[in-house]
Amino acid sequence: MNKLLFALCAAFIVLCVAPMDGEAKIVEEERSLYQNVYIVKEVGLTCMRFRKKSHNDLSQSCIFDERPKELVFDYYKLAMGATFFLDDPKDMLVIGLGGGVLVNRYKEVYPNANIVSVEIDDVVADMAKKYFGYTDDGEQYETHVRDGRVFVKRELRKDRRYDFILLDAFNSDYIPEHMMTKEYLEEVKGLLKPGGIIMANTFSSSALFHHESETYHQVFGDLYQIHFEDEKTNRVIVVSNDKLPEIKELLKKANHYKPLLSEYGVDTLRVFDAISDEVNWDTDAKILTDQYSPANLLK
Amino acid sequence: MRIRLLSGEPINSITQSMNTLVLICAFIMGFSIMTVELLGGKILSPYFGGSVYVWGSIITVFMLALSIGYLLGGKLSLKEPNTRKYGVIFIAASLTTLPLDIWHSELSDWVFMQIEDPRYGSLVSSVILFLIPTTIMGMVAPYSVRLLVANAESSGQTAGFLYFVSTLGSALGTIMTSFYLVLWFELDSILYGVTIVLAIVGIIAMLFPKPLPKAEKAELINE
Repeated sequence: MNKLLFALCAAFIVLCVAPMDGEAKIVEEERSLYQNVYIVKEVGLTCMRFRKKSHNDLSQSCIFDERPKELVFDYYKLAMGATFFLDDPKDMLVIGLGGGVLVNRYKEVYPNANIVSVEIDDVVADMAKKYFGYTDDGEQYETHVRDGRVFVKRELRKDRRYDFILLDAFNSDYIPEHMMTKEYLEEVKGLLKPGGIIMANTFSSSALFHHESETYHQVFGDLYQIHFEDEKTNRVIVVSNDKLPEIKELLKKANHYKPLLSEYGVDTLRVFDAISDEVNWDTDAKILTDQYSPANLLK
Repeated sequence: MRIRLLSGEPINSITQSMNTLVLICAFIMGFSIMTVELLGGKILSPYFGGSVYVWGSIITVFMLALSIGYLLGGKLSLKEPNTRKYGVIFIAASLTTLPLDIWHSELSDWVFMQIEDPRYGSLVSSVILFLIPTTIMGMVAPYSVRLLVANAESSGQTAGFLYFVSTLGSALGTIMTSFYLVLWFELDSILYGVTIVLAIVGIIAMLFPKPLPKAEKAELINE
């Protein structure tokens, strides 16, 4: 009897400890011009990190090893809400490729779209291809290794325009300061086709929230925020160079994409419920400009 | 640290206060150089990004400009050095930062249009924006040494103390700008602030009374 109890205890301990034992194994690390890039495997996930510390929220990109299509982060799921706003987009631009997890899903949802991805760090772009299944094979797809703001300025000169732009450029802290300013947002706005949509991945958990929200507000007017009630950090901002559709008009597409996006672990109705037009920031907050953008100090 | 002059003569109070003036001026110049250098990153990042090569361009141009400035400042100090000329250097530095203050966006934009590669774009922009004002700023250090040095024996110590003060100014300028000034003020306000401060310092130095000729024999010691 004692032996049985002992065995049970041992089994229990092994079961509890085993996953922790296998936690955070660095499978590749490379120093790039901008940061150290780590590929880490832990509890069934493959993640890209810019810091060694083992905190999930510091991961730039993650996928499940067993189910690579299923989205890991809430912000990925929020970003799939873009589908509610888009009608068969022809040209899409992603600033901040990272692991390419979102681009891979957008490619599947919109197989006819041209997708241009911009990533400042060539090591990150290489890792995206090596570990996250990202490819830019085919004429439809381009990857540019360049600073996002510089790329946007060049595109303006070339008169290229997009139906959808995802702003997802992050360094190890937050969004780079020169990519949060009014001038930058105006440049990005200039790249939109009429009625085009911009979606920005941001955090809602710092003092910067007010400054950032008000900057979008000043440049675009009305904006929608998508964030899950029970998850405080991530929020996605949706803006347009035209009038945004009424929230209730979005329900049709949320229903339409429900079966497809459920493959990615996205409950489109939950995302729909997370859309808000509430002005929940301090509209007196000083906006961020090229003159004043101490973003990381305000954080 | 206190500076006192020793010589056979009664202590020349004008010389002593001139030394204090020169040290304060050198401190302010050290501060200003680093303020402008740090803001350089903010000026260029909208056009060329925030990459390491943008900083490489800025630092290269600042180092180049300072080296030329040291050369010219040393040369200038050979002929009748006085605080009036010293003040003129500050005023010239102030005036040459004005185009930077007024047109930095337009100039960077123009270079952006001409040069596709952000490395050479940021380098050329840095040359246009910073080379001339920083060269003139660099002239202050050797000229300060000349004004302070009383004799050959103590010249090394005098120069060392001058570098200590001006580099301390640079350190403070770096931390104040990057930690606080960018949080309190807009970019252009800080740039204009530097221009105005340099002009005021220049005017004060120009108006400073001439030291007595005997001052040449005074000895500067640190105590």
